[in-house]
Amino acid sequence: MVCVVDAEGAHLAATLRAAAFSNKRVLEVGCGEGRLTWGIAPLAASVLAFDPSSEDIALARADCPGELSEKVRFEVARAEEIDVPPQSVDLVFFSWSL
Amino acid sequence: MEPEGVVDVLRQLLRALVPGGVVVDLTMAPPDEIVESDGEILGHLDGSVFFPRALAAGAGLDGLATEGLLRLEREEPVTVIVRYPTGNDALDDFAERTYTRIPAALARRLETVSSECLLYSNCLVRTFRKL
Repeated sequence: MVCVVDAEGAHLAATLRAAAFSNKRVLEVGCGEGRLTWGIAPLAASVLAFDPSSEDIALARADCPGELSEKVRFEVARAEEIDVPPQSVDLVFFSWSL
Repeated sequence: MEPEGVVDVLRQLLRALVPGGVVVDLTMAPPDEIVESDGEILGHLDGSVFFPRALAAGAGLDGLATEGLLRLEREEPVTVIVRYPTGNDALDDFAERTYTRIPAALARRLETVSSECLLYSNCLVRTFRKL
């Protein structure tokens, strides 16, 4: 896609104002190529990020900075297919996904 | 996903959340997105099919709040700008959207624009607490 999304950072800034991501176990639903994931992951304890697009997840995995690789995991799944243990995350983050 | 399945998915995902945990919901919201170039508004995308689907998730969260499972703590509107090098780049991107329609007049104008085009999308960021 030939475009630049939110170069001003307004979306990420609003997301970070919405909740305290620090040291939280985050479940991200609809992560796309990881545009917002990269902004929250440095703060979070961990991020488990899902998107139904295998192409987007491949791009997100390829772009994942080395320092985040231990705490970010990307998986291909539709929202209704996500299966994580009960009470295993502190924050659920829906990004234009449902 | 289909709007009628949203609440079931939300319930399933809420089970993954600890008591007192937080839900952050980013949703695109009306009015229709504006396309602009060189300070001139070229037109609006048609979100009449898209927005009811996008808003279904928000409505699902509202329903869970009404049930007493969640509490809305915060909401903030935000405008997200997408920049395209040319009108045709914008058209290529819009064509990949499943539910947003491009009015014919806007498409014709974009085909002639060789300068940067901006898309203004309205979003709502909402924060809920699991009770």
